[in-house]
Amino acid sequence: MKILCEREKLREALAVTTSVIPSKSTRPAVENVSMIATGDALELIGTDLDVAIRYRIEDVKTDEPGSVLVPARVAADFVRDLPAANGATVTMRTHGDNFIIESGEDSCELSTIDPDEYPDVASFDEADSVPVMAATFTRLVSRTGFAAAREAGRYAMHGILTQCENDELKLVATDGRRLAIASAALEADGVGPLQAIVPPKGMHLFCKVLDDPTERVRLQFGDSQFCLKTSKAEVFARLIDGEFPRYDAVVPASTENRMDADTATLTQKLKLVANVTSPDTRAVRMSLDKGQLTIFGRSLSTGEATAHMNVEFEGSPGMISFNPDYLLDGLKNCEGDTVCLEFNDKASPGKFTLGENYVYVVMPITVDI
Amino acid sequence: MSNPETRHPTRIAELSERVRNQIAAGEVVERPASVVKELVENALDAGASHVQVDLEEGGIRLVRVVDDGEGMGEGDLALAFTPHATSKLRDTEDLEHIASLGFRGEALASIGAVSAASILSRPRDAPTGHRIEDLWGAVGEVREAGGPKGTTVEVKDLFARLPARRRFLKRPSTELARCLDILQRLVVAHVGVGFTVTHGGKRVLDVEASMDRRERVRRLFGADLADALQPVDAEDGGTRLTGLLAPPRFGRSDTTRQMWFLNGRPLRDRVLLRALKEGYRGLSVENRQPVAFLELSMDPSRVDVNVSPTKSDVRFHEGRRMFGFLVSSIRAALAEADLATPGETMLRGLERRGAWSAPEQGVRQPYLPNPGARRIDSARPGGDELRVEEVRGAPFVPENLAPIIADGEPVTWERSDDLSGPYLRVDRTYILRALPDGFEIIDQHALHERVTFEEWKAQLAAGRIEIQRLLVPEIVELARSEVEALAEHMDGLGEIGVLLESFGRNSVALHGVPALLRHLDPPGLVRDLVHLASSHGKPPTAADLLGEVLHSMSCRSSFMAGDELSDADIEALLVRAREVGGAKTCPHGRPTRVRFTGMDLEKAFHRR
Amino acid sequence: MFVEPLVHGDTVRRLWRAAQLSRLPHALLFEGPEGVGKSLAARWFVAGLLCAEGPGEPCGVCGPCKRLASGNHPDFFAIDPVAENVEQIPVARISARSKGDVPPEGSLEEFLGLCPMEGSWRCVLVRMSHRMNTSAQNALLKTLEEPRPGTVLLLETNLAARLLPTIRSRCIRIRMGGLPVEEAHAILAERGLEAGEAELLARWSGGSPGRALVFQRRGVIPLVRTLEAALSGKLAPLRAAAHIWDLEGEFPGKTPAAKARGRARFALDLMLDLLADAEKLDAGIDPLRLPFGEVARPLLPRGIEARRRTLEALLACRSDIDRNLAPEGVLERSLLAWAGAERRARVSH
Repeated sequence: MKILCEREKLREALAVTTSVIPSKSTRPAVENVSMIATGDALELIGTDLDVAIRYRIEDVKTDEPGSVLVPARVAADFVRDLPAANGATVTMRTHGDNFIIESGEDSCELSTIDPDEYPDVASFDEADSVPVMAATFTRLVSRTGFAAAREAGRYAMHGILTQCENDELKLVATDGRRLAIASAALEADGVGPLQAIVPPKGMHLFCKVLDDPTERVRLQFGDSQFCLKTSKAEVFARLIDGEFPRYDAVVPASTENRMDADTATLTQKLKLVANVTSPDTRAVRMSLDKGQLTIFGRSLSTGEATAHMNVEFEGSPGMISFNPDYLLDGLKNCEGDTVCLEFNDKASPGKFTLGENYVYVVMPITVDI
Repeated sequence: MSNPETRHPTRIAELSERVRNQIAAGEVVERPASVVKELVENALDAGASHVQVDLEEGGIRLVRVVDDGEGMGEGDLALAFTPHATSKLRDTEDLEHIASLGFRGEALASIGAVSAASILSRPRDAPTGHRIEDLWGAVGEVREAGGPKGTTVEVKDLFARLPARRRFLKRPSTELARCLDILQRLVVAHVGVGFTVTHGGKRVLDVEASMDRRERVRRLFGADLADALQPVDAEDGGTRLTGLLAPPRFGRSDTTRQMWFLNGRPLRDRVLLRALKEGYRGLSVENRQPVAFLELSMDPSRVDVNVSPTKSDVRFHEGRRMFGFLVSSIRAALAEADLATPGETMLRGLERRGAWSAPEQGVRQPYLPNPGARRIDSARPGGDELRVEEVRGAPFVPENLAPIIADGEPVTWERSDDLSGPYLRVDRTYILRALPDGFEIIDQHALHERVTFEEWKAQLAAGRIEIQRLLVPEIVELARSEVEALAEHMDGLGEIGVLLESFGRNSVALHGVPALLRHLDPPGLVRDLVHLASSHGKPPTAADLLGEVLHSMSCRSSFMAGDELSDADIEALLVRAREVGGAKTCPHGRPTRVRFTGMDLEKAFHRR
Repeated sequence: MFVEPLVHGDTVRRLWRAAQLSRLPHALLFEGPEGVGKSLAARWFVAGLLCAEGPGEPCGVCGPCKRLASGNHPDFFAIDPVAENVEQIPVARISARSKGDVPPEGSLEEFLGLCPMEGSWRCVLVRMSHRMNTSAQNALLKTLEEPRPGTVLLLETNLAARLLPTIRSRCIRIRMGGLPVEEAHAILAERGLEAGEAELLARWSGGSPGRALVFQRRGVIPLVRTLEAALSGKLAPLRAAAHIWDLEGEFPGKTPAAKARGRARFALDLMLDLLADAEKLDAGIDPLRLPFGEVARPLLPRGIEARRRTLEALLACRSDIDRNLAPEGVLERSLLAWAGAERRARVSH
């Protein structure tokens, strides 16, 4: 292979792909970056086997198409450190079993390995893909990601369930104690139903490559991978192999009690009372009666605290206890000035509406059995 | 023993066919260590008060065991190398009362078949002794020979003519280590018998008959261990457990210092090893094997020693009751033990990595206190009568330092300690605090964990456990027997906040967990519970279950190292720790505090 | 790149056929005595399953075959205590939940936690699976319950009794053994070995065609003949030693020195095997049941004491080889001992 390309474009491409390439792997081939020169484009592929990036540089001059596997770290560092005085272009070519990167008078010669030893990274399939605004996608991820499980061993709950159904893109995450559901309308109709459980690592990478919020990107729900395509890159994440909990039944359809509270005040009062709770006493009790919310927390070792605030309340006077950390996690993402809590009794789920198409369900804490 | 044969003058009788069949045949001799074990057990059985063991080349070239026991006459010697001849077993009834050590007749015969062996023996009251040889299975004539009272057995060139088996022997140093391992167990087991062991003419072990068990441990494994041992003595029915337990910090990666003796016989029985592990559970750090030297005395008829040819395993007739008794006795004894890590142990750690070196012997500068200063005893009335020479040159010793310097004196300042600062925080993890006689380092995470655990127990007692409900009941699939085992305990588990429900015959549904659990792993939690419910030697009581679950849960719920604590936080934590008591290790057995005494500091600065 | 395992080829082909028909069980247990090629069969089976043309005989040239051979296949996970040089397979290699140190190779549970990366098949091979400790075996049980379609768990062991009964019962057990001498003979004959040679090799290898082929590559027949000649006095010991260096034979090792050491070690091991069979003959075992029954017979008149000296001398030579002493000298000494000629040799010097 022999190719001429712009130094700056190559530098960025290498920086992006090497960001996922591990420096040490039990499968040594993935420590390399795969470069494929075709027609007028150069494609770089990097993967750590969990996620993968295909990055495309257009407008290169291909003298000789081909593909090559070279040590990623060294190639990226060499191109990054090339002095600007060497000019704006870089030539790369194979030379026997080696690969030469040249710019101006400087060059480096890298050893290569058989491209067949590199894992087969999928290609984006335009046909069944779903278009979505970058900002929409990142917003849904940040509205749900915090609720995903982190404990080792519960693989299905580590991921974010991503669904396309009824012309809606919906993301769901849960750790078994709380559940966040956020959705947005899709521009295209008649898509789906499609679904995938995407690991947090993949979601994180997707959000990282989405630097232009107005860009329209495309999603592809594969059998074993979830892919996102931007103008420059295709990003892949292997799906979690498991069953996501059946969450539909958890969201209460009808409730007897409804509270509407000022988001900022509720956040402030919760933080206040949470100060006295300790790890051995996690709960804060919310008592509701005639437009008044009383938040009470107590710890055996430190003491107790009470806070009051005015709210709108419909229903019969009662109380329900929650872990304040879970409530604050949700309130942080609340977009409206008011937040709504609906529940039936102290042992049933509390449903918080944190915005349009944004529901957060938290299971209460009970003290008496 | 009512059998008339027992009065027969020849003490070694050929076993009847019936008995022979009852004893499972098997290879007794595997390597020099097995020869040593057989011969020394024979010597002990002959009533020896001193046993000498001489080894050459790890015992491959020579194992010689000399005892001063009652010796064998001409008739006994003639039968000594005959398979299934033993002076200890006459008939099936005797199998019921196996109180003696080497009850298997074939030991000497097996040894004789694979080596050049000889026995020289002279009974106590006989004017002369006799000698017999067995060279590679060829048994010679008994000949008269002179010798000391007692028996000398020599085994030379083990397996030399059996290349196939010789090839399995390891290097002499490895074989020697195995011989010594066996000998150490025998030495600790047989208080009242003296032992001398030589290798290549050099003395490697020497224990006098008068030394008690603790002194034997001191001789074998050093004073640090011996001085820290906690005695145990408990009885249940006809079973008595005595011995010494080492505090958990002496835990090792192997089990070479776990010694169990049954009626004087060393054994490595899995049930007993498990009982020990169970007894140390929560005190010992995971993967560390406790160190203990324990003796069980019981009526021989309540135990079957004849389970395997290598005689290591036994079967107790009331296994479950025995297990419960052992675990509770061990736990009770450990509760008394000093679990805090002394500073001295840390100094040794420093020494190992070269950060500190122990003072050299004999280097002592004149202005430093000489060893006499250690003997200041303020508790003794008229302490001013101490000889002036002994304290000359000693620097000012503060009044309150005296009690700790006095050997074995109880520390008295603790009661008046107000736990106040100043505190020095290190790495947001450790807290240093000055004490009247030195200082202590507190691991804030470990201490908090322990305090949480204790308080949680209190919360439980007050019936105020908070339960985090789960969104979707977690279904955990189990074996049917496991579901049944759990079903018995569902009420007890509910009390500690684990809301379980049977869900079909092969699974359970988890509805809620204690809110204290920071990390949720329902299948893991349920499997742990099943393990607890089914792994006990006896059916666990609700209280047992609670204890176990609390242990494993409290560590997960505690503050992590790295939290910044204020002075008030620290003082509150220390007050809480004192209130709950017994907070010297975290629930996983790591120490919560390390104490450096004045003496440790003097050692560190080479003043001693 | 992937070698068809002798003897077990048909077994593996049946498994591929089952895979083509989507009837492959998800858990297989390859069991049988050591050295009959279980691991080889397992690797070959995996290669054929993952091969781009598969399931069937691996082509060796497609991407998946190359990736598997170079240790880069993303959908193959191996736990190999032999290669990793560990006595026990710890639970951390099976379950991600264990609190122990996370091994760099990752755990089986993590590997199976994500969907396969490339094709429709995904394989796990646990070699010497009896080396899993109890908690590792318990953790594996969960995985054995219901992996997703296309996942194949392959356990290999020569001590199946050490696996939990619950593990054994969840696997389809495939027994692999050595062959009767006659069958091994036939297989070797099919491979183009001349009849007399095939028969000798089949007998000397104890019915393991794989071992027989190794013997053949090492040139075992002229070597044994040389040892016999040294024993009968037809060839002086030192001339026999010199002759051994001239024999045809391939030995492992990259450098000539390593190959020479391999040759001396092989000759010594052969002498030790012969000596062992002589002891067994002396004990009255039927010579037909011993690989070297007939060859070892001339050692009998020497007597047990002299054989013991020979053995000690040979073992000393063996450890000298391991200590990297010059193989030429060691081989000379061992042949002197072999011919029972140590004393004569000393006199002649």
